[in-house]
Amino acid sequence: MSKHYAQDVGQVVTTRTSFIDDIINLARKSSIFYLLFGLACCGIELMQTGGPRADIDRFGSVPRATPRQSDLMIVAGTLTYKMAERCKLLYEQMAEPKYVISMGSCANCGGLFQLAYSVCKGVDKIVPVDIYVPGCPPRPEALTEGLLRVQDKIVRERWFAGRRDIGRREPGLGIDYKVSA
Amino acid sequence: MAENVTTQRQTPGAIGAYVKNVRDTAKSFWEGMSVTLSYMFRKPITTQYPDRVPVPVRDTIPPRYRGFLEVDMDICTACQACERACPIAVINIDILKGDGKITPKLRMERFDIDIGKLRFVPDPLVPAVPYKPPKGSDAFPRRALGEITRALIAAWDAPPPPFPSKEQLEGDSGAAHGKPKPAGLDPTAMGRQLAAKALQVKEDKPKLAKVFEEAMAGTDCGDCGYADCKGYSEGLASGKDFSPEKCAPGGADSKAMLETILVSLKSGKVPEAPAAEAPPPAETKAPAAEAPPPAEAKAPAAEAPPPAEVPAPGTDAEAPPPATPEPGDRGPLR
Amino acid sequence: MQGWIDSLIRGWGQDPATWPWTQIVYVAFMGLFAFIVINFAAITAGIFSWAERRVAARMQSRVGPNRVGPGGFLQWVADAVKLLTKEDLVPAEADNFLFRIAPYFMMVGFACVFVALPFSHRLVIADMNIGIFFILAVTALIVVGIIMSGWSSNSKWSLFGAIRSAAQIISYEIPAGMALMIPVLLAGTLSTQGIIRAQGGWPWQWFVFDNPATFAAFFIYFISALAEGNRTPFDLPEAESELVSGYNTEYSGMRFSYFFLVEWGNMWVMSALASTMFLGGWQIPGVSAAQLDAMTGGRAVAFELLSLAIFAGKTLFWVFVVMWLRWTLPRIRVDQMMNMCWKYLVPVSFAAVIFVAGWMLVVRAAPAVGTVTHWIMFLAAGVLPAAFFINRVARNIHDTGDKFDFTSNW
Repeated sequence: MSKHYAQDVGQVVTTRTSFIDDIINLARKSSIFYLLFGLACCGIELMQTGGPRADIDRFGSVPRATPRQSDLMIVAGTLTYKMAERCKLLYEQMAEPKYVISMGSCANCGGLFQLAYSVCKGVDKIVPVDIYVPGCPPRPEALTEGLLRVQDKIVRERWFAGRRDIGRREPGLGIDYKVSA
Repeated sequence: MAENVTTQRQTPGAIGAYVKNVRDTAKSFWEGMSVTLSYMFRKPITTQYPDRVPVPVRDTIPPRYRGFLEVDMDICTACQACERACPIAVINIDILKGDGKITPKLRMERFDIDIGKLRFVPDPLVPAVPYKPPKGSDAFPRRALGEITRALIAAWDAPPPPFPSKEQLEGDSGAAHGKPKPAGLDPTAMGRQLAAKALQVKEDKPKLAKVFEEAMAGTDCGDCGYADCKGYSEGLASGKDFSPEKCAPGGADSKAMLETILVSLKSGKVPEAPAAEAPPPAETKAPAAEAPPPAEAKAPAAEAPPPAEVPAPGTDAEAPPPATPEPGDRGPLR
Repeated sequence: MQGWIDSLIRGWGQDPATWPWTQIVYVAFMGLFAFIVINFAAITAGIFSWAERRVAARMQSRVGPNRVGPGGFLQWVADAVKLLTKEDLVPAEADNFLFRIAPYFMMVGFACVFVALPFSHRLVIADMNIGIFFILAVTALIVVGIIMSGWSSNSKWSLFGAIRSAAQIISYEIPAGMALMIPVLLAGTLSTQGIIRAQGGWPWQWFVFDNPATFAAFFIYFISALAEGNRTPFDLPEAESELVSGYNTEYSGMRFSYFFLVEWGNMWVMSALASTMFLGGWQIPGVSAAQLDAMTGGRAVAFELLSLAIFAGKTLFWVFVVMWLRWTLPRIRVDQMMNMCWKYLVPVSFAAVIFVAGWMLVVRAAPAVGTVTHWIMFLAAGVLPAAFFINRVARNIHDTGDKFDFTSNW
């Protein structure tokens, strides 16, 4: 029953959600479990965001160790090609609805290591990214702001309509992932 | 500590060690639980960041906060020194040489800072590139460092600007929209003109330096190793310097023009316009099917295909057909 | 509750022994009670999840979930709705049927405990004469669910977690069972209500202060219950650092929420059992069980609620202690856990049982010894340590230059 407006640009309705959507979205946005996925120095800042000073648990976000139970993957740090395959695998193991925050300039575009032979130039080449948090590394406040942006995004979604657009192509490495038993 | 354990295990006290373990367990429970309970009754140190902070967020920014990049567009000469200085290519500047007349002055088409790539590491209050006042800097008084950042912080909570009305849109830029943009200049033709000019003033070194300076980007960026463009051009004119590739903002165009001038000074005549050679490279560079017919009097041997949506003014007479697709989005000089 | 239903049927003018609809009425009420108990378990487990997060946050100098509802109280509703709407994944190579059914085994094992667990003076689903035996038996079903979930997931982490959990729970069944035998010895009955009636309302009449052996047995039971409920410091089956999330690694959405419901609901079970067996249960100080039995009308209802409040208060305090322990102690190693069980808890619990058996003979010969010991134990093991502990906590706060502040920054 609420209309959502495009941010900061005036009265343009982007989504219209029903009452039941609002209730479900309220629950979903208040309980975003994030996957522990610290890859480099941003991982330290990710831990700090869960720590006492910038307590991300205030918004109902707790870390989960397994991708099955997490809603949000925070890719924190330099993504090497070797890890990129695992990153893609972990993303695919997460249960819908799932979101991705790309944290730090290394995850956004390769950052300082973008000329290195082994570094993936951005997480968005591997998995669809919802929010990019800049910084090297971002402060806990920046990551908190990223979480709030994810919440904004969730509130605008129509849950019953499904999340991903039909035919949306998810970028891949062109590698066939087969997990050997 | 370790001694205690071993002695107790050797001597009668297997029982003593056993009791000691139980006692240690009880004691550590006692100590640990008193500490955690005492923390339970203290005030949490959490700063409830976005909404429940005692002062507005903008007042909590430390003085050396690095989250803002400061660009004073009024004094920007599009020298691209900052773009070259940036290690991770955060800054993207598109430049266009010439403003429709025969002049190599650079004009900025685009100045983008990719926030996503930003590392926020260099102190923004220290400019990335050592600042040199450009020519005529009196006309452009420089703003004090940090002023733009302070203005940004002050505008933090201001409401977003409203949508422009239809009248405003039409009144402001609607008219300008339809006008053809001035094209880039043709470095080959201009190089020949400058070379002819240089031959005339061959003996007059200051005037010759002026001609050389015309061929440069004119941003005084200092990338060539001289203090400014004047120094480099005097070096070339006096014969101390022979390398034409030092002008980084000018890029390949400046290099080609300077080369043409230097060659013509040496040989004593302006090089021929390579009209006959023009069609083959034009055809290979243009996209296959809709390429403009080679018969057209296009700029021969251009470094890059000229922008197609605008008629090329200046020396080259005719415009290509307006429907010709653009080979690329980037400007002609990139 | 059967007696209550029988009297209800008599109220309708029928004789429950001969009325043909008696069994139907029994089944209907069984369904009703099952519904109430499952909902009670689910809601308390949910509220405990919120409470634990707030307690943990305070103990870590954080704030904890405070955005949903007043003080974040509705956080558990948000979590539940989110988990229900989340995709229910079954891994491709998992055993589909067992994977889906395993959480229900855990739920059944957990919910059955409430059948014999008392809530107040009259409020107990079935006051069985084998109550404790029944509770110990149905708790073992949880192990079946854990093993089943771990094996059917077809994941090494799940299997490791499940095997660890099974080893742990089976080991700790022994000291827990022995420790629970001591109140049974003292009360002479296995019925939970009977054990509570054998105690008194005042603290020195509780079994925990009966003699030194019962005091030890209380802590043995509490430690074993922590281990059986997979609570820290014994949460080895869920150790994030080594086994991703233990036996529930591959579970998502609703089925995962069952596991957590059982984990948090178990906190109520272990604490309620502790207060039943050792801490006087619902006994009201100054009012004997016989007086409660004799009450009728509104007075009976009021005292019933009072006894319910006393029982819930004791239970919630021990639930808090369980949370408190979790955020105090680090996780121990597997060998330490096994050492603790087989080298310390099992011998001590056997010794305690034998000591209590002898003690009962002594008390029968000289009843005054028992009364004096009650008082000495109450003062020496109850009041004095509590006073010292409060003093210690206050000193911890003041020594760091901080001050008692429980109200700000919520």
